[in-house]
Amino acid sequence: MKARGLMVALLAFVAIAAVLLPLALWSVAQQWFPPALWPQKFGLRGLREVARSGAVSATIASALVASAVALLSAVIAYPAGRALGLATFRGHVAMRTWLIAPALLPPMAAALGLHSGFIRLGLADTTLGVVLSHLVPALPYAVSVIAATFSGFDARYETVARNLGASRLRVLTAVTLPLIWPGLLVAVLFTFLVSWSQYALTLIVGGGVVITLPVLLFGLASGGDLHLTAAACVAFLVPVLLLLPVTARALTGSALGGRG
Amino acid sequence: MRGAGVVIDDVTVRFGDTYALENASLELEPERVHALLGPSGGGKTTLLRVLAGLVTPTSGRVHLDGVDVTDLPTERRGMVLVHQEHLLFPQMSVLANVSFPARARGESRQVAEGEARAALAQVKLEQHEARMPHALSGGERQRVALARALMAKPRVLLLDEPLSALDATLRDEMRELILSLHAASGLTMLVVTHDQREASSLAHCVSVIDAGRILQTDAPTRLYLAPASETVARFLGATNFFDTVVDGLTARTSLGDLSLAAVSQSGAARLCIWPQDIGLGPGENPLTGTVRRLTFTGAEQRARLALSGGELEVSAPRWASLAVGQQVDVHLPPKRIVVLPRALTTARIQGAAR
Repeated sequence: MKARGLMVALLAFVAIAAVLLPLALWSVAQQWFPPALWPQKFGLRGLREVARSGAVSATIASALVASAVALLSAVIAYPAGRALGLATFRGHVAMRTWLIAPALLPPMAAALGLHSGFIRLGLADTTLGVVLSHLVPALPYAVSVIAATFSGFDARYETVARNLGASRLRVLTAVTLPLIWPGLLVAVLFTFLVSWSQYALTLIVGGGVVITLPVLLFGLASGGDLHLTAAACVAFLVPVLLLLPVTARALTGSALGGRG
Repeated sequence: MRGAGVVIDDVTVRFGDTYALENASLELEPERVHALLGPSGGGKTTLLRVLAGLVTPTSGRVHLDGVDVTDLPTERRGMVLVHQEHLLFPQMSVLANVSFPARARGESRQVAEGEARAALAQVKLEQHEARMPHALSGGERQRVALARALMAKPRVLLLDEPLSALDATLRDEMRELILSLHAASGLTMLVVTHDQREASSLAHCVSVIDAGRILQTDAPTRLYLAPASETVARFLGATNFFDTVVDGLTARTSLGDLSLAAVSQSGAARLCIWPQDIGLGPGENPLTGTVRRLTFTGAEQRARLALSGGELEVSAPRWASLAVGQQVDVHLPPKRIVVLPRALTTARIQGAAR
């Protein structure tokens, strides 16, 4: 069993490396003409160019927007996911399925619809508007993950805690959250990534004023410069790759009431 | 933390069309152990949950030492429930679980843990304070749950089936522990159980409850000697019932005329006699039957006798030499024959007794 798991991990690693390695090489290649397997000359022109075209501020904007989206999603999805996860009412399965629908909507369709509304509300071309628009694809994931978490949660722990004299706040902080935090963390990371990779919504609702990494990346990629595009991709991927160990820990670490 | 008296006044709990409790009235004397005895689904757990403030009654009131607590939230009632499944917080150590109520009261960690260690010592688990709940046995979890409940400084302790999940030897230990905790704390306790032996060995007063109704409340000995109805008698383990017409000191039955010890109301009634009260050999109200079936339980022998007018279940000492097919003389002591009102619906009663 263990050997097979290792094999799968190794294959996955090779597959990911096969995609990422050329990308990483292109980002630091100064001169690379086919059919050579290795760049003739290395240099930081691509990365420097990307940094100069606003990658730093775009990274900050992306991080800000994605964090806000993740936080808002968690707050909004918590009561909804809780109700659905603990639900026994008729049709709650259908309801959970239906709630996924916004995530299946083409972002462009959502963007165009939201844009006209946001102009009237004064939310167009603002970071807040972009954050709110990202909730459309992010919330369904957050609600489903939190609902799944709560369907494995025994709410009687909460009534026991209340009966023992705890306030609602203490029940939440001392009993509920410690039992469901892995699910909550997954929801936060999922929604962070959904927002991080959002292009159409940011471009249209942000109107070119709010520049996140994907917006910057598309602009650079449409220039046709492979070095630049690869360097921008690296800038896009590195923060996410840094988040991966956290995700892995949450997913494989202590599950609901399991090995404490 | 002295135990409080509880008055349950005409409480009804309805879920949709079904009554979980119907006009239940009950008084719990302060500082005593009471038991609620009944089959599963009979409404005993619902009554516990009403007292704990986890279920709002459809109608009726609950008073604690004369104060109406019906509308108080669960955390301010002073009635703490120990669940059958214990429900220890799985992410917390034993010590953290037991300190929880003190921490919830706002005590500092040091004070809370000090109190918790004392409570753990009371249930003889001080050596396990660092363990996680999943590393404990069922009996240990039960004791941790008891210690945790005591930490909430309740005035009434509600125990849902505290012994039923334990095996026989642990059960005796747990019963002793509960009784010693009661003696040490002077708490009012209400124990829910479906086991008549558990109820009568723990409580000074037992209420039999079935189908949402409290059928009888009495001291255990009274309950056995003078059950109020056939349902109660059946639930306590009585098996021999006969239709009868009482005429003075004589009861006419299919077994023949039996003499009674005391004059009860004349007319149609039901007779009940416990298997344990039937004497072997000749005596008053003598009868003769053939052994149809014999069951050896270790504590006794149960013989099913076929008589001319019906069947009788008799408890015989385990050393008595009995065999299937044997003719046996028995007698029914008049003092031990219980006259009950004739039941209206026997179908439901039999269902409940299974």
